[in-house]
Amino acid sequence: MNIVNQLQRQFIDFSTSLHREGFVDDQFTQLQKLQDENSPDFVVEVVSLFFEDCEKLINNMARALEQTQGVDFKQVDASVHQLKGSSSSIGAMRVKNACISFRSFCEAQNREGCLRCLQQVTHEYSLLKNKLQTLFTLEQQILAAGGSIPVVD
Amino acid sequence: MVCEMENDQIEDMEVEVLSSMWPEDIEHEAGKQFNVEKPRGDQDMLEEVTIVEEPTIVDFQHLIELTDYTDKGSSQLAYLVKHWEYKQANAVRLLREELDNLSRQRQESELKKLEILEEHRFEEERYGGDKRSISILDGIYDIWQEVPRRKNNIVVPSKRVEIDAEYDTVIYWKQRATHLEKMLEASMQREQLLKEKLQESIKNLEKQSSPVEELSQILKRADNFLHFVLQTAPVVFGHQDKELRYRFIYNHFPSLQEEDILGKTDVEIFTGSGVKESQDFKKEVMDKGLPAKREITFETELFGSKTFLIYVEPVFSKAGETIGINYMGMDITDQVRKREKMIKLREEIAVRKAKETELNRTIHITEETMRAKQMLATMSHEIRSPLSGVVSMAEILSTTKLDREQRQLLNVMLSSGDLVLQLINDILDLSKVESGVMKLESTKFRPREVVKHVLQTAAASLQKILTLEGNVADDVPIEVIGDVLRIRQILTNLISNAIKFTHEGKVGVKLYVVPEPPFAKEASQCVSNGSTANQSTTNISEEETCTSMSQTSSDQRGFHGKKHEGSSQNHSQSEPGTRVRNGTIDTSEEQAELLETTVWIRCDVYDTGIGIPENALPTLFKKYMQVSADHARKYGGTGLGLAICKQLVELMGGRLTVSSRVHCGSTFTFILPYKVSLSCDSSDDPDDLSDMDDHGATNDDATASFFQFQPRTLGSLFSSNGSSRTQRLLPHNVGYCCANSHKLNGFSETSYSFPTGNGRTKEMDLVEDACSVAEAVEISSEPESSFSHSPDLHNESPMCSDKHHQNDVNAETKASTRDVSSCSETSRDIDVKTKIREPQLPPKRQERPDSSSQSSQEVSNSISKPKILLVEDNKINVMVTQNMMKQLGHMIDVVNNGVEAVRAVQRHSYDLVLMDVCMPVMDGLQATKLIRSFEETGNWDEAVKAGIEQPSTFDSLQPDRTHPKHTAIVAMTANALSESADECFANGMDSFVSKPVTFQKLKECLEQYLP
Repeated sequence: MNIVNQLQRQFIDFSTSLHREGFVDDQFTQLQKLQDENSPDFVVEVVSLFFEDCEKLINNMARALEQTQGVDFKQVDASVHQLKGSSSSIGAMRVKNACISFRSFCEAQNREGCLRCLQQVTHEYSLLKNKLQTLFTLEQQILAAGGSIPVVD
Repeated sequence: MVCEMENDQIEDMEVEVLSSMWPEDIEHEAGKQFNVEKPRGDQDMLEEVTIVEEPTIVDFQHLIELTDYTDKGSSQLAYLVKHWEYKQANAVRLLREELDNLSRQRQESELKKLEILEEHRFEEERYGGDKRSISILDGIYDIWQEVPRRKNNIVVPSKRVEIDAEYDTVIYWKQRATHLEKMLEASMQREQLLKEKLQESIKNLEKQSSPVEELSQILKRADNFLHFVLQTAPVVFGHQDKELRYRFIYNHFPSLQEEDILGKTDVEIFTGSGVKESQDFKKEVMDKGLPAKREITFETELFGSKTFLIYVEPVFSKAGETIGINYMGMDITDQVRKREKMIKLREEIAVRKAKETELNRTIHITEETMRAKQMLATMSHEIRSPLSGVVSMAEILSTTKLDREQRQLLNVMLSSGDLVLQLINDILDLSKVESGVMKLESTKFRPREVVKHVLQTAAASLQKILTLEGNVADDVPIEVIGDVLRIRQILTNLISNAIKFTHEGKVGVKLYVVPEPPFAKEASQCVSNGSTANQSTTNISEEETCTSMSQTSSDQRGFHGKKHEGSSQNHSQSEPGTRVRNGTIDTSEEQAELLETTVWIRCDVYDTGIGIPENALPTLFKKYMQVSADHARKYGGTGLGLAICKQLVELMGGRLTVSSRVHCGSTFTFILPYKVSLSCDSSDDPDDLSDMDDHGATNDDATASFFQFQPRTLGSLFSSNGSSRTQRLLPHNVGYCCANSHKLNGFSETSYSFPTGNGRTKEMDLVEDACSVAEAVEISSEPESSFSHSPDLHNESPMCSDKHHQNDVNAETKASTRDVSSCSETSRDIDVKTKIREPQLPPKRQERPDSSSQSSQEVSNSISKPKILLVEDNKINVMVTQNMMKQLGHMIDVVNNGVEAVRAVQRHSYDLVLMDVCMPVMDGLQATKLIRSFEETGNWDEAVKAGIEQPSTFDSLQPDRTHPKHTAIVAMTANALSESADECFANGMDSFVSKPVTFQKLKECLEQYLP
């Protein structure tokens, strides 16, 4: 019981910090709320899908931006757009914000800026991935310890 | 030969003499001005030129006087004389030399003669005694020695005498004598010749040497020279005496006779501007005694407008007195004109440059401003999304069970949130209008409905004891075309403003048609012909309507008048009449309207509030401006509302004005042009038509001309006709609480003879009763008031039996809604009012019929599941949305792009389509357009054109569906900026949800669009 409490507290603290540091926003909370008995792994599913998507898109963009000449900014922009849509959908705020500035560089056809942004997006993405993995691990630990996942508002 | 030499010399000197005749500084200016080639055949050169001597007009006498009196003249004369003397002296010297020469020769010849004679004597002596033999030749030889050598040119015959005879014979001597005699003779002859030559020379000299002739010749030459040079020069020069009377003038283009000029002054000769100036200038020069130059522009009848550069120098007498002036003028009109043109050009260039820099600066500033505004807009948008989340959540929270304190806190929270939301919306609107991205929609709407709804909404949130009234003149068309959202916004803004500043009395809206205002005419005159043609048709049609209902309009006016006077009961008398006519007019109006015309409708929003001081009026429509800081504190608000209203009105081509009296109230007036659609309504809006056919209420709603909302008591109980929105629900039990209002419908519809006013008056009385109750206890719960209404219903129900069923429907609807909402509300109201005594409710929310009716809708939904289609390419978005929908109890179909969406719509009929805008293959906008095209035409031709195959199986489409129904399409857009919203609407979407899609947004959307 004690360990469950501890884990739960840890979970709450961690979630709060995620929110506070802007890794996720309310949209993520909404996702969590969508998770119920009918779809117990909803958040993990969505987030995994997001990470897959993210990786693919980042690779696409990196490839497109590798060209020193004639970068297909339209394609990059489309990818960023998609990434922005996905990230805002799951509430990955920092990734989304990085995407916003990324788009403006795309519009300006600024390769340097794009590369910087891509780096940032990649950075944010991996940070988020780590954080969420930690969060999910905590969740599993709580569940494994027989506790229920607390609702964080 | 001598003469020629002399001539040369004279020419040289002449040149010098001439030059000295010119004003000194001219010489200085141009160096040696008369550097003329030595005129060898000078006369010939000038002879070729025909010289017109007329231009010079000389007062000769004065000229001579001048030469006598002035230094320059006398020195010149002296010079001439000296020169002449010198020339003469030279000639004399030369003659004298010649004479000397001759006389020496004569001496020599005499000497010779003497020698010869002596010789002869010696010969005779020798011949007589002395026999010394001397050779004659030797002796002669001696003589020759003395003759000057240089006189070689003089031919001296050979002295050697050849004598044939023998020496010392008689013959010899004789021969010798004759010989000598001959020689003498020759010598004499030569002397004679020389003498003659001398004579001739002297005569010649005499002939040449008249000084006057010489002088006049020189003068003539100078004169010719001057003429030659000045022949076509645009110069005038002359001399004027002490009194500035002309004594001499040279003018190449004389327009006056000699007698007109000489002896007169400038002023006497011509008149016009510049003359006086030149005269004064000459006087000045004369007074100062210093030469000067000046540019003077003349504007005279004589030679028109000309500019002269005038040089004036004083002329002094030998005694040093000024005795006149010389002046020289040159016509520089062209130069001046050119110069002025150049100056002007330069000025223009400078101005243009200045403008350019100014413009650049402005552009820069504008860009900056735009960027700032964009920034603000973006920020506001970004703020709005989370804020609306906060507010919506609070709203939902308010529906849960809360204790009193919590509710109070929540209410404060909600009202604050609302305020912030409003502010942000205002900022967004303003920046949209200012940056020009605000696009106006043209939708058909009913002004009466708008007025009613706006008042209704305002009444719902009214927290004061105020009467709200709306009055729409009969000539206002039932349906007009305009941007209803914006018009509503303006109206809402003005009314809420009026309410804010009114503490007792009433706030009202008046709508009536006005002729085209002058500002619009001005504006439209600049526009092309097409629009003017349009106007003319407008005028005609306006006239038509005028004639067709002249009676009405006059009545209407009277009606207005009464209303103006104040007491709201007054109109009960005139009411029935108007009503009756309403019906007839509607039809006549519809018949008259054959074309689309523009109608100008004036809207007055008046109140009996605190008024606006005159000095505050100019800043009233400025952003962030309120009448005073004091007001701002007292009444709150941002000061953006009126600025937005004004900008919106102007954007729509209208005018917003205000008139006000402190403590008496204000009237805000806006005049807007609306298009009046003349095409048949039914084709456009089948739903509406069916509504009208089925339920008279709608029709009545459209034609009702007066709405009144009494204070607080009846929050949502309005005296006019009931809404027909939720009529489709079937009654379970007939509610009586608000049947009253519907009953009125019945009256107006069914029997014109029945005075509607009665009903109204009764109601009003009731209302007033309720008011007094409300004032006393400050409680007015709906059940109470509705109970008091109930007897009315019973009394009157038989009379409107034919429409009763329908009324029942209406009534039931209302009842059901109210039942749901009022239970909680009532208790809450009481809570708040009695205990807290601080009515902070944002009742808009509490009395919203939608939320309650929706609950019943959901019930009906569960019976037949609505079909929902999600069009979204982003898997994650799909997943999230799908899950949310599942939570809301909906299973949805999902497709990934516009083409698939069109195909899906071809196969099934959906109740709601959630459409992403940005998608590969085909975006949401186009897909929507295609679907809309199908709904309009009933075929998929447009889709086929866009490359989407017609579905082979058409079975899914109900064959009886001649008119495909309108599918609700809601855009899901990630673009923060609002223009994409406009784009959505433009492409036929019903609404839009900004991403990320939240639970709340989805829920709202479903509530709104699922029947």
